[in-house]
Amino acid sequence: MQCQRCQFENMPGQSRCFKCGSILEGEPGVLDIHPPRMASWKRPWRGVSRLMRRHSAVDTVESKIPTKWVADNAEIIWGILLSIVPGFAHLLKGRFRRILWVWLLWLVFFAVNALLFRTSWGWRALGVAAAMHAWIALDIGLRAQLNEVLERVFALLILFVFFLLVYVVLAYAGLPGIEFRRTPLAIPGANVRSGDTLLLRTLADDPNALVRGTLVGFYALGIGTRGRSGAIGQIVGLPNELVVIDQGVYTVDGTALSTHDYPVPTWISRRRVELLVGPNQYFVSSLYGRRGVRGVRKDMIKRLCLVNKEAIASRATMLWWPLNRRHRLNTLD
Amino acid sequence: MDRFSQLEFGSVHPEEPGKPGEPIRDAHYFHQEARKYWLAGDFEVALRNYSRTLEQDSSFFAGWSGQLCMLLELDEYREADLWADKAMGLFPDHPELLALKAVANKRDNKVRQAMAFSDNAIGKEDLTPRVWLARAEVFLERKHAVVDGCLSKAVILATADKPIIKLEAGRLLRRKKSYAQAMTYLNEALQALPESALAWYELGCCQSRMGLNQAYHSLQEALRIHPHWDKASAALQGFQGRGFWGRLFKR
Repeated sequence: MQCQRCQFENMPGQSRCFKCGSILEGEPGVLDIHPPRMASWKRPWRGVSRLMRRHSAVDTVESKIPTKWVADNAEIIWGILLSIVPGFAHLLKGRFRRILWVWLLWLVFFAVNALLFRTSWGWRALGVAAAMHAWIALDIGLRAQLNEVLERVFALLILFVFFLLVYVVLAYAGLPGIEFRRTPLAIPGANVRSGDTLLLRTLADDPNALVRGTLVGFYALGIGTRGRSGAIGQIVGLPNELVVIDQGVYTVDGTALSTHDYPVPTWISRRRVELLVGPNQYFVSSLYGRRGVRGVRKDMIKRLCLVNKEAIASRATMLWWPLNRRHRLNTLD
Repeated sequence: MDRFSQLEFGSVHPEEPGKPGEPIRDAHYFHQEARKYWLAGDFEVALRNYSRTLEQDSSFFAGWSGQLCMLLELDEYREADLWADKAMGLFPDHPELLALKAVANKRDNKVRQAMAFSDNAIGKEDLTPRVWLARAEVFLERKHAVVDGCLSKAVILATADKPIIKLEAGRLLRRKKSYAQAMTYLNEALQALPESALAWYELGCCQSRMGLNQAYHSLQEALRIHPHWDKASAALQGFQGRGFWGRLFKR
């Protein structure tokens, strides 16, 4: 094929001139006898797509389905199934140009969610990712079945809620041993402020391995309440150590601890207290809400701060939120 | 009298009347060239020659069907499907074009469409051998009796291009893994087309799968006709790399 612009003789079937890059067009009124050619980068995609069609048996899906209802809605079900993996449906349908966009957008939203997991922005990104699944299901499986705009919008909403629920269930159940909790404690030495969200991991190892300064999640007794509730505290005293609280400073076995790393909560800082930590206990410094209780007695401090090993459930490994101060929490000891 | 007629130019002989000179580069010439390259397994060059055939004569049906076959050989099924639609603009409802569309869809694993096109092709008049070959290919993995019947019909219908149809039948049967049956067709094709690298390659592959030592000779022959043919070289290396037990168990 000769280029109209530079007169270069190109290979038949080329869409652009090899020399000048201009679009090759046949002369008007002349029959084009050069067949279209497949771009080489499409070859592996086509191969995968063909393989998928072979094994998914799209053509024979109706013959394999069990009931009439499923038979009637096979296209819809197939569309929903295909939308589970973004881009997969487009791959099968041969809509390669869209795959890139679908994957890219979904990856962006999924990555944002992973980065901001369990935060309000993370939930929003997760919502958009779920909406993308819903849109793919509508685009691939339902558009041909539903003609009315309202029907499509309604189907989109149902699908969106469905995929969002799947994501939420996966977010909670799919990450065993991980929890996120806000801390009331402010520990300047660990760059932790009151209200920060911490990522806690369940103690898979022996709780004896805990060291001084570790932020832990534990089941705490309340002041003026019955039962235990989840709380976050800092380990100050290890088993068999003598912890003294005097003038707002912790002293452990005669060594005064820095208030920068081990701040004493205000509710116990006003009086001098000496406590011997039991062999099966830790001294955990934490904040407590006092409901209708005036004054702090030594037995109250002993009851609240000396925590049995079994009551310590998890260890904080990362400051998760806010994002600008996200960091790993190293032990201070 | 011409003023140069008396000059002597040494041993100048007048052209012998029976000896062919430079061939006329018309549609038939390029069609023959394309077929030659196809038989040599050089599908890209064959496609180019089929395009040249149509440059000479765009109403030459063999050029269109040849282009489609080459696109199929090059695994460009969607392009073949698209191009068949274009060809049908010139030859509406031509059974061979419908059959080639069926093959394109079948190879692209769109079985339902392939069967529909094949059914449509069979329903037309003036069926060509390729229609039955396409029918055989559509049913290749399903009904063995239908495949055999279609191949027989294709061979019976073929007249001048019987060896070509036998070669195609052999190739189909090789894909069906009926190696012994394929070898019968391929051997018959090779009697008429001894210089076809493609036929030797197909035969060599069948023999290799059967564990026969003749595979070496067949693949060597394919490489002699079409040197540096990657597929044949790979097949030969694969065959040579297999020992006795490999040949016995990888049949």
